[in-house]
Amino acid sequence: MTTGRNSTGPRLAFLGLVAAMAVAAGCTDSRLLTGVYRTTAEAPVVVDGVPGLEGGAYLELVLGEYGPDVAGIIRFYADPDFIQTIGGVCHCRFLTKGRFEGGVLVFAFLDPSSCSQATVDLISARLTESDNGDTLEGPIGRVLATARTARFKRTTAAGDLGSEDKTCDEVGSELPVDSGPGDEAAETGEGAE
Amino acid sequence: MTLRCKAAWIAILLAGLVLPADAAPPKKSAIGLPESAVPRRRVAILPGRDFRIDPGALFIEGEPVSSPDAGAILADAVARTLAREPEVATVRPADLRQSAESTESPELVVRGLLHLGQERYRDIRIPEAISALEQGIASARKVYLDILSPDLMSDLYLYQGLCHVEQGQTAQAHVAFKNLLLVTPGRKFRKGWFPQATEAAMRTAAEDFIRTNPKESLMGGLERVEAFLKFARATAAVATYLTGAPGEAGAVEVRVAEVSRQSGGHLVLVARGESPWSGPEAAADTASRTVSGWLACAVLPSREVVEKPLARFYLDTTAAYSVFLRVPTRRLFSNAGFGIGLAWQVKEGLDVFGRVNVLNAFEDKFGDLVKQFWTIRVTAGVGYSLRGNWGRVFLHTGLAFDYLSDFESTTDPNCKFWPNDPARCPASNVRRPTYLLGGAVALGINATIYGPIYFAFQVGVAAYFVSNESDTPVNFPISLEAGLGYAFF
Repeated sequence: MTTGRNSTGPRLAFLGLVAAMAVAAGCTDSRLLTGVYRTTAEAPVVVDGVPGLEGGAYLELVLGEYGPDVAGIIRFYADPDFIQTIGGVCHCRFLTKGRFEGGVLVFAFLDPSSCSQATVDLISARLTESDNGDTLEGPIGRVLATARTARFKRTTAAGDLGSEDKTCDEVGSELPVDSGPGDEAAETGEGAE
Repeated sequence: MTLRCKAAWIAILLAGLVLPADAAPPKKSAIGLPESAVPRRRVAILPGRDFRIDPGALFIEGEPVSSPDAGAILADAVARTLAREPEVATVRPADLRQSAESTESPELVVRGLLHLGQERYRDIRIPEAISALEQGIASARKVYLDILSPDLMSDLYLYQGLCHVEQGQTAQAHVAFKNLLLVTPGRKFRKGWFPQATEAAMRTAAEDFIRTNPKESLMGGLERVEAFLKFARATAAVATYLTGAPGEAGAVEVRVAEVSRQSGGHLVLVARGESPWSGPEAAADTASRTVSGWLACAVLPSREVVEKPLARFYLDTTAAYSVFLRVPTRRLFSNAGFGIGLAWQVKEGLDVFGRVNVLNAFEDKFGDLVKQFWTIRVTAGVGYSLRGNWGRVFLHTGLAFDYLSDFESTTDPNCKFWPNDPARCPASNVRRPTYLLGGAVALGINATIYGPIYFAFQVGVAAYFVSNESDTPVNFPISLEAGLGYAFF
């Protein structure tokens, strides 16, 4: 019995030490922001100076947070059900320069009004996370100081994020104003998003 | 003498010549006691001797007859006392004496030399007789025939003395006769058998013996007793004898000598008993009391403090924690798992060891590890250790090999979000070291908990020089391990 007591003590102490060191080395949840966020039906996003988004659009953010870095996609829809794409606008854009620090998410994406990769116009966003982490709110526009505020709510948690959520074909996603996705696919030879 | 007989003597003589000076005692000579389940200490009982010699009674009318030997009574009393102690095995001369008929018996050779000496003496070839007898005496002493076969030894000294008398070498004859009395103090001779001069020489030797024989001369000195004990595979000896000049009652003397327990210890006198002679029963009582007194404090197997030999193998299993100090991620990440190690103590202070650790990586703070991975670490080398009953401390140095299963890390968030999309994540943005090879050093302690069970703790560090990625992006792991171990053999 003495042996057991003697051997348990050091083992427990060691396991405690391991746990403490593991926490100290950074066993924290680095996926707080990761998930899918959508604008609410009542408040479509208006981005001034961006054709196709000036009249209001429904945006979907697919985010992956890795420490201070954020990667992801932004998609653009014409209806609050997030089905109809917007004519003449890229269906999606990859986020660039995504950062998440102090509860504020900052990112940019290429102007979706032209699906050309060559475009250099960036649209930026600075969204502040709510206390519960399910809401992001802040300006989106060419100039943040004058941009209108957008509000996003989390619709998919990190664990439910699938590979299809992360898919984006920027070049092949631009749709003509008066044509459907099937025609675009026929022209480019690629599947539309 | 027939030709065949002469040939036999020559053969015996040659055999005596080739007997090595330090001939190892026949192994069988120490046999004689049944193996016991109880560990027993072997104690040799030297022949009891009655040195109460009366020179006037050295020569008697008619044939000498054997009378009850008081010395033998003392030795028997000692044997009875020792026999009551189950942890003592007594060794008496009869147990050590080889059969005289055995062809390997050194006694046979000595007896042959005695007969040769006797022949030469009768042929009045005295120098040759002395040579044979001296050779016989030397051979006999080497195999302790003065203890095992005193009558044979006595005859050798007798004829040696007679030869020296014939040669007119009085001093040598005197010594020979005194030696005769030392091995057989109770020996008597037929009156008129020897010339008057010889009888006088023998009587003079006896008188001198009484005056000069030192009481403590056990077999001629403790060194010889020590050698005899080795021969008898015993660690103690008991000697008994009676002393006293003619006209005195005499005294009973008992001596116990044992090998010192210190390293390289010699024989020391540990008990002595003396009492005036007042009969065989009282003498036996003195011998018994002396031996009992010694036994009360003697180191017997059950009282022996046995130092348990230290283990030669150390096997441990541990919980292990490790951190690579150089990593391709922006923050360090933890690795935890288990370890199993075996060390073989090749010799005191030096061991060889082998160790295997299996460690699982924890997620790093920024998620730069694309996925968790396993590290299988094998280390092997030599160690320098300091050991005791408390355990051991060691410094292990050796080679270390790490296999990293599915290690992938990147600081590019796109590679984390689209890890399998080459368009979003160029392969160059992901580090994939698979194996690492280098050196390791560890400092540890094994602290005994109970018996062979010990608590194991060690801290180590490694440095890798070889990897499938040229710049060895993962390097310098420090590790902590704690667990339990078992020391064996």
